Amino acid sequence: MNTAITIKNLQFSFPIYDQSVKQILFENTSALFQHGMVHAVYGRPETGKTTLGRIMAGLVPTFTGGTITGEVLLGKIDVLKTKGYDLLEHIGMVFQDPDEQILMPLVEDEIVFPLESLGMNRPKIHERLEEEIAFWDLDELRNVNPGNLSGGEKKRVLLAVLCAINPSVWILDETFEELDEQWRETLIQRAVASGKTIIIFASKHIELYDIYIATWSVINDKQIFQGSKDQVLQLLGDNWEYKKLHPSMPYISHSVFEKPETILSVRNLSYTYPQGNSDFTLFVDKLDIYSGKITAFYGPNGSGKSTLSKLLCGLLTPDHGEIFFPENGEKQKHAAIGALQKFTGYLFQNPDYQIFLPSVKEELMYSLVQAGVDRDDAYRQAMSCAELFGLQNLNDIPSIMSYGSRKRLQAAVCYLLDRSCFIFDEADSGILMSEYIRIVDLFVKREASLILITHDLRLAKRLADTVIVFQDGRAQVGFYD
Amino acid sequence: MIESSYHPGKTFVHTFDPRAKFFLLIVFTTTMFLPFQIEFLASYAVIMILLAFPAAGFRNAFSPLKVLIPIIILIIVLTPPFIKEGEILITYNNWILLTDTGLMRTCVLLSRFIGITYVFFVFFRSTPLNQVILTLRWYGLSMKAALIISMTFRFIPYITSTYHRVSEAHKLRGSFQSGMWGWSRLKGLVPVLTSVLIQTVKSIPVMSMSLEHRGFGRNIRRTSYQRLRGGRKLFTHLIFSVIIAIILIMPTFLM
Repeated sequence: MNTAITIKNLQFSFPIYDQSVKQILFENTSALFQHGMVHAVYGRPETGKTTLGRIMAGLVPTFTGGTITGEVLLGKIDVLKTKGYDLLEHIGMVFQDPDEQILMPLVEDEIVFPLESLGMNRPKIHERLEEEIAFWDLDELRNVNPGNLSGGEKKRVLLAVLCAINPSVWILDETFEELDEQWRETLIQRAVASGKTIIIFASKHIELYDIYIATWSVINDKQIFQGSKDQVLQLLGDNWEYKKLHPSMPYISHSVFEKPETILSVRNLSYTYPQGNSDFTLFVDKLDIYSGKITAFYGPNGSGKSTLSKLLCGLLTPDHGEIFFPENGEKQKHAAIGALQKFTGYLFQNPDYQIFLPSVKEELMYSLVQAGVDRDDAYRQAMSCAELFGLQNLNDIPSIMSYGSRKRLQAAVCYLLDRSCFIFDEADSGILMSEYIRIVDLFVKREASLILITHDLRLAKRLADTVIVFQDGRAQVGFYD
Repeated sequence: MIESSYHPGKTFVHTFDPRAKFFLLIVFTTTMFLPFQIEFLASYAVIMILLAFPAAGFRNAFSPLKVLIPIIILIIVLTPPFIKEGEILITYNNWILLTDTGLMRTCVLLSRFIGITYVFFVFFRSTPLNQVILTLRWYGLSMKAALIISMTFRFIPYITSTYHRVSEAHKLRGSFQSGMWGWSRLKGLVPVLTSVLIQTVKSIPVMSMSLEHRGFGRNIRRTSYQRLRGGRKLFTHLIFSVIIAIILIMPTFLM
């Protein structure tokens, strides 16, 4: 059987910066991917899935730096000795973050750009363009700036680009994550029907494509292990983590036996984005946030979860309805924007939005000093918080720390804020589930109310006291079946 | 602002060949700096404002003026007091506030400023971005330079949205509040701008990666899917543009 990709004795480590430790990502590892099959490569966050995909595509270490030895063969092509642009017709990759990959100001231009690089003539480009625009339902978006699209729409644009180029190997890096169920199904059917070599990188097991997977691999402990499905999922530890860490939800607030106090209420709220999609309006009839309790916001992309969260923390003002701080069950005080901003802390999905200082110590001390805390006291609090969140070195430079470390730092920064309620916006993405749960646990122990925004219904049901389900801008209490 | 400024339409301004429009843009901008009498400059500015109606629609025709108002006020307030030549029109306590020469120069500056703003406004409002870039390439701009312009327009909304998200994040961290003014606001902007800068710089190697992955840099000749059609229409519009250019410059010979 033909081998599409051969990896032999691969060794790779990232470059060393000031005060950072040498990070070996792959240590003398090998793997084979057969031609014309669908391969699943799993790995927990930060094990090197994306880097492996980029090594295969000839992009690492050219653009990241680092030391690489071994052999990566794409058929007979030595990838490590070939420029990425010369591999265009052989291998195509859909990046995990679409904003990192989209280059052009219009959707149509984005699809056409690589076809022009291939030297295709105009009729051929036109044929491929129209075919993929129709297939991925992008006709109404063809003259739109891709930067203004939703995450799922951006992924469809990138998939249209990949299909238009039609390389012999497709690498899909966490591509299924942001797609709705219908598009996931479309993608897997298209991938299987293409007869290409498909390599799917994922950090969570998605049962949807089980029946199509020919080989199972997992990146674990600097090695690429290829084996049976059960062996791979065991090493991935996905389900295992849920079972082990959720015996009876010990981190749910002690107030489960007391009458919970309502700390924030919403009544008859509606909001429409002023310059956005005027067909979308958020409606919330009634919502109460309870002291020390966990509320999950669950729903598909664009259903209103983040919009409501921004309203609750004072970043947006509702068009109608009210948000208020109740006391003794009665309407007490309309929550002004300034009051809400000081009431609610927010863990953004991207930790880099809030990180700007040159050391972990300065990041942790910053908000405390701003709030008037004495510097020595702020330092002590920062030290103890760093220990709590597993931040080993207070002198580490946040911007070059690993993604997981930056997430923990962001959580630590929020932890030190004097807030009654915290919103975790998809904070589980990119970190180990155990780590995420530990962070949730820390916040619950300080008796804060939590709102968890998530795509993961299992997570929502396991962790939350209440699940608010969002569908087309409407929020309802209940479970999504 | 430029990125979101194209306003689709079927008016003569929209259907005029972009290459001819660009030629007129350059000619018009140049003529605004020629030593014409104020009547001509003001007329040209008014013509451009009138052209904004078909280009942008009635509602949006005055939108550039809204943005320019602070600068217009500055010009009106700061220009006359510094020009003392000519017949004195307004004085106050022996201070010469306005002379006829000062008034004339202020009007010239305003006409130039408004005229040039509007000519660019009309051009970008009536010409889709891809045609703007194709026009620049037709005039000799290199493919790489055109790509830089395209990518700039792609990333303007990205950087803008990053700035907004970072501002929101810092508001909730307490380091930046909307109600801040003066020095406090400037100080509060430092964390925001630093985070945005870090994000932007970090995106550079990944952007380069994406460019290479899309085949930029290959040795084979790139083809071009988009094109501007030539033929009779282009010829007619270019001739028409030359005639207009001559009319615009004619006052120079009358002086």
